[in-house]
Amino acid sequence: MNSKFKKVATQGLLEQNPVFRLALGMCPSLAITTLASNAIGMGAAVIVVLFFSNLFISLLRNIIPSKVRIPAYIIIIATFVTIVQMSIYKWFPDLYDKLGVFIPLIVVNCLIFARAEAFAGKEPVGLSMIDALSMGIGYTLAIFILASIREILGNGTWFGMNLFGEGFPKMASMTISIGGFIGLGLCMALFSFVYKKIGDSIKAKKLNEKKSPKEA
Amino acid sequence: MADKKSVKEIVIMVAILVAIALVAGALLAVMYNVTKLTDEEIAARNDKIFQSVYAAKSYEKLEIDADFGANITDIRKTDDGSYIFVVNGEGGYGGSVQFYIAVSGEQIVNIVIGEHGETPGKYDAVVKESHWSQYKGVELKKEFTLGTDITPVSGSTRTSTAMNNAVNAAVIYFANVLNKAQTYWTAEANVDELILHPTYTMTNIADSSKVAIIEFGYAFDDSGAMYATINSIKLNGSDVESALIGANVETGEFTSNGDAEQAALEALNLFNLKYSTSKINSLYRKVEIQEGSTRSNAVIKAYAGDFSGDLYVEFTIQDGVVTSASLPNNDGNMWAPIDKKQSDFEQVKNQFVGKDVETLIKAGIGSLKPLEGGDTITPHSGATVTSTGMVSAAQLASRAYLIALSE
Repeated sequence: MNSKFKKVATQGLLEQNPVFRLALGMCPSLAITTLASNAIGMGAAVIVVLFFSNLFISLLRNIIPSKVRIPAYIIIIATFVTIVQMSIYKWFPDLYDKLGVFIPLIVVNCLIFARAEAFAGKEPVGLSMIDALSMGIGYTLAIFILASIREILGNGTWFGMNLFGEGFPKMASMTISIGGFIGLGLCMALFSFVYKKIGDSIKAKKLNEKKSPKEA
Repeated sequence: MADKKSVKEIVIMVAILVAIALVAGALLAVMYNVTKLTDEEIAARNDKIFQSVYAAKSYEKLEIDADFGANITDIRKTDDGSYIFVVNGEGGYGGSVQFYIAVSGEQIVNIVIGEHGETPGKYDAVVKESHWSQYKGVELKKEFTLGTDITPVSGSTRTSTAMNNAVNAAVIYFANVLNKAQTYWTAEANVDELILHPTYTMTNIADSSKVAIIEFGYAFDDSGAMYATINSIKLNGSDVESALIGANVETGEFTSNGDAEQAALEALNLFNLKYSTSKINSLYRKVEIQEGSTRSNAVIKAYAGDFSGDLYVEFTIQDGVVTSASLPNNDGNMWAPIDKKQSDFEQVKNQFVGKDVETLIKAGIGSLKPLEGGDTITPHSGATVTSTGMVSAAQLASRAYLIALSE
């Protein structure tokens, strides 16, 4: 149980990172990742929606008949997205300005639906909440990395702070769609590379552990 | 046939979905009320927006003139006499884009984006000062053209277009309503960029770029009342090559010819045009359309000058052609103070009869050259001023015929 708990808590960050490994929720990932602050705002909204939708879907997993689970999930997800949208409009109008149409589009972010379908609909409440946080933070981290790269290269700023002064040669293409695709592709490749390296070293370690008692 | 079990199953599924939807609806209703903005919050948010657009102590809401304010949703006048326009700029990627446009000292000083459905990350460059500062420092006399006056942001052409449309809506409103006693037009501008009151039409653009012929211009006094007309004008750059200007003494509040003429000359000043009085025929004028006139049969009396007392010429115009001209109030000597007889008038008059109103409008006489396609009227020797007055009267009658009588 403890190991499963640990696995769920960490898999969203690296092993099953929603953006770089599972390639979920690409549309907003590409669109809003021009500024690091937008990525944090979007990530926070996704975490909240993911957390509550996972919580309630998991709570209701034995009540919702499997034949109508998809409309039921959509109602639950849409409810929380709407609540998040109204809350951002009320309390964070500046953020609302920047994220624009992408807040309501969280409803159709495949990440949230995928977690509902693949995880919360089957697993107990506690684990589902952990999964939501893990996946949400993994998603936020991924778009934050992508947005930081794009903001720094494209604008020469990070969180709006000017990093390099006026003479910095800005790569304007990084602020537009093409920069999103290139940045995402490079991040994915790097992530896969790092993941494989880590995986290989873990495997090698395990092999060594297995071998060593016999040799001893 | 469905057995009892499957019916029961369906009923349960529907019941559960309805229950979830009801709970969700109730939750949303509660949250809606919690997050609903109070009137004070809306006002504070609006004022905060106005503060961020142009700092001032107060923002007085102005009534919007519907003739010009099609896409303008709000106009605020600040305590220092500047304006903030809230405009929906059409043509954005996600529909129209709301912009806050601050105008101070006849120039744009700030542009801020409001509500919009543009793609995050795509529109950002458009709302940066590096882009919108292209609108700064330009006196608001004419619309901005995207591509020539303003370079759109590459990759965000739609948002740039929406901003340009919003700015132009504000410019038109500013120039025509808020700032209308001022200049409307500079002659350096291309003719097709002129902002004219929609009530008046500009026709007969003779040359593609620099030579403009405006058949019906206008000028305002400080209160905005229409007084003077530029009935026809031929420009070369900002130089007036020839012009026939006047003022309608019936609508204006002029007590003398001099006032009316002055107002007409003022019209040229307003347009920043250079002129010498020798090139300008200025006449104050009156026109009366006889009741019951139609396009097929119109009787129009027009003022022809005051060389020796007011002289009127009455034209009969049938289906766009002048069929006769007479002197209704010619009590013996008005046409011919110096040895001129009715037969002399006939000589001049016959140059108008049978002519089309469209060509008469372009007619010239003496030093006033005809416009393209117009005839040159020969003045009667010894009655040059009155002959010129007749040309003016014929033009005025023709214009009245075309403007006032519907087809």
